[in-house]
Amino acid sequence: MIKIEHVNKTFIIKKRNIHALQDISLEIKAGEIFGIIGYSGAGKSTLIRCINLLERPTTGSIMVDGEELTALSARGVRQARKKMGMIFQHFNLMPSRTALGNVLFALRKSTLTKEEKEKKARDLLELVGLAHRIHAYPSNLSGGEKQRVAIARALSNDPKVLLCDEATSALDPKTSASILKLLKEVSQKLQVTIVLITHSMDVIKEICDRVAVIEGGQLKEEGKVLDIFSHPKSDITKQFVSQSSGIGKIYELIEQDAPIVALEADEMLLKLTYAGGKVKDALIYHIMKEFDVKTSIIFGNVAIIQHFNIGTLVISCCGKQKNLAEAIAYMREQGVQVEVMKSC
Amino acid sequence: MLETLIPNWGRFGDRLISDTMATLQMVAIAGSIAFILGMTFGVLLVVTKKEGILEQLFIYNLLDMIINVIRSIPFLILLILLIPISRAIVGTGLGVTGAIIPLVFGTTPFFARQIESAIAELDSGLVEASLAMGMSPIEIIFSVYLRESIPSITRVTQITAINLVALTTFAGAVGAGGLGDFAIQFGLQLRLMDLLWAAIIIILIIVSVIQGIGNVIIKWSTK
Ligand SMILES: Nc1ncnc2c1ncn2[C@@H]1O[C@H](COP(=O)(O)OP(=O)(O)OP(=O)(O)O)[C@@H](O)[C@H]1O
Ligand SMILES: [Mg+2]
Repeated sequence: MIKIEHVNKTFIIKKRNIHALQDISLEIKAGEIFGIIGYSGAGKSTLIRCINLLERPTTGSIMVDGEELTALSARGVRQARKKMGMIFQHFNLMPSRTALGNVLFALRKSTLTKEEKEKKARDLLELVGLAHRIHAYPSNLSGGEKQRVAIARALSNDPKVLLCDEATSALDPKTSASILKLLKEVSQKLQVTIVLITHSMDVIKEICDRVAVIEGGQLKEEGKVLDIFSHPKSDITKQFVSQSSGIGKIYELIEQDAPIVALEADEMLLKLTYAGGKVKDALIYHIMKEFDVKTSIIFGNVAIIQHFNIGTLVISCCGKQKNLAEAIAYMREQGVQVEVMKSC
Repeated sequence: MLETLIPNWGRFGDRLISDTMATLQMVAIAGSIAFILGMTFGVLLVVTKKEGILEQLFIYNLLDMIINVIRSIPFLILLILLIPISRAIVGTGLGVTGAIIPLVFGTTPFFARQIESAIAELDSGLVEASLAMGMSPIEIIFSVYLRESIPSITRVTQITAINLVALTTFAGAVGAGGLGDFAIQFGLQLRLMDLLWAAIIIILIIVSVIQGIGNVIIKWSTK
């Protein structure tokens, strides 16, 4: 559906070049929810804005639904944009128009009759759960409600693609979750391809099928969310994953030599990661019994990603060197990733 | 009643009425023209500036310079300077007709700047959202820039209109009459204080009406 090839974007500010995007290539399939994650300034917004040419790539190609956007005239670009909806962190609703008015505003150039437009706008507002608030002005709506209106507005021209620029960053966790749920529903009901950018791994975990990680304008890693979570490769991806599981905190504690992670002789701290429910429940029991390794759990987290669970455990193990090595080998055999976080 | 409040009404009342009419005429005619021109130039400034939706730096810089130059000329000098131009355009440099062009020149640049900053106050996200919806620059100008800034445009129109009332008091210099001229003749030269006060009260009423209409529009358009 969307094919981004060798896209570069360079901003020139006071004769200095800022390489906001460097040779990015991505393919986003029809119907999927594709996440783009990165820290502030990574170039996420620039990338998503390139998809509807709000930002024109310095070089490279953007194909949407088989059409090369960079080759289009100004009018052609406007037509292409109508086939893509966009929602924003700060909603960007027209303050002088009601919820209904905002959706109708996006419909004003459509070929429908007045009655059809009105019906469509009402239906869309109902779809996003705002049937009872259609005559409210944005200033009287909560953040979550505003984003719902924005979603209805973005869907009004039956887009094939919905671009979401930090759509939930300004919302509290509960509202954010409800908006994500709505986006998921929308993608299934209307078969819209969704591209969403975020700096939160939780958002990715919640609804994305695939994810791309960008840093400093470069694509660092890309793949199925489950794979990225269970086998992160680049440093930045590992950071995002460990922040999301809460394990980042343990690394901090190790760095500070906190008492909770202080080790005695023959003791080591292990991080176990296992994916997809493969692990036998008795793993810990087994290593204690078979290898005579005393084990205690320091931290545990299970992330559910699309009906799969990814577990993270931090355990401290105490035993003879040889036994510890055997225990680790055994766990690896069982499909558990084992990382020695700290040893004496 | 009027005679007790304004003892000189009997002698000069008709002058007061005709000068009030002159002021009202100047404000209405020059104001309407300046409103349309100032709005046009203000919008042009917004859309042609760097990163604007129709970026045209040459036009922006040219407009910017012209506005700065005209704004820096004191109005009384502008009034005299423009007599030949007035004569060329409206046939005379004198009277109410002759005062219109200088008043337009004196008001438009100020108003254009005010419009520019009123529109600049708008959240840039609104334009971004409109562009993402595939709207053309013309649609954005009318349906977003102008429509969404009705309250602030009204506010700057109030300020500019009140400024224009003040500028009309200079128009006596080209024989246009008006309440400023009236005040000089009867208040300064003849020391008829009742007439001076009458002129002041009329100006206060004009200003209050401008304020009042504006406030109603602001209230109605702020959602
Ligand atoms: N219009 C612009 N002019 C100049 N530089 C820009 C412009 N837009 C973005 N940049 C620069 O490009 C880089 C990437 O910015 P971008 O907004 O894409 O980051 P982001 O990942 O969306 O960050 P955030 O999470 O803060 O929104 C930054 O260094 C930024 O300063
Ligand atoms: Mg951003």
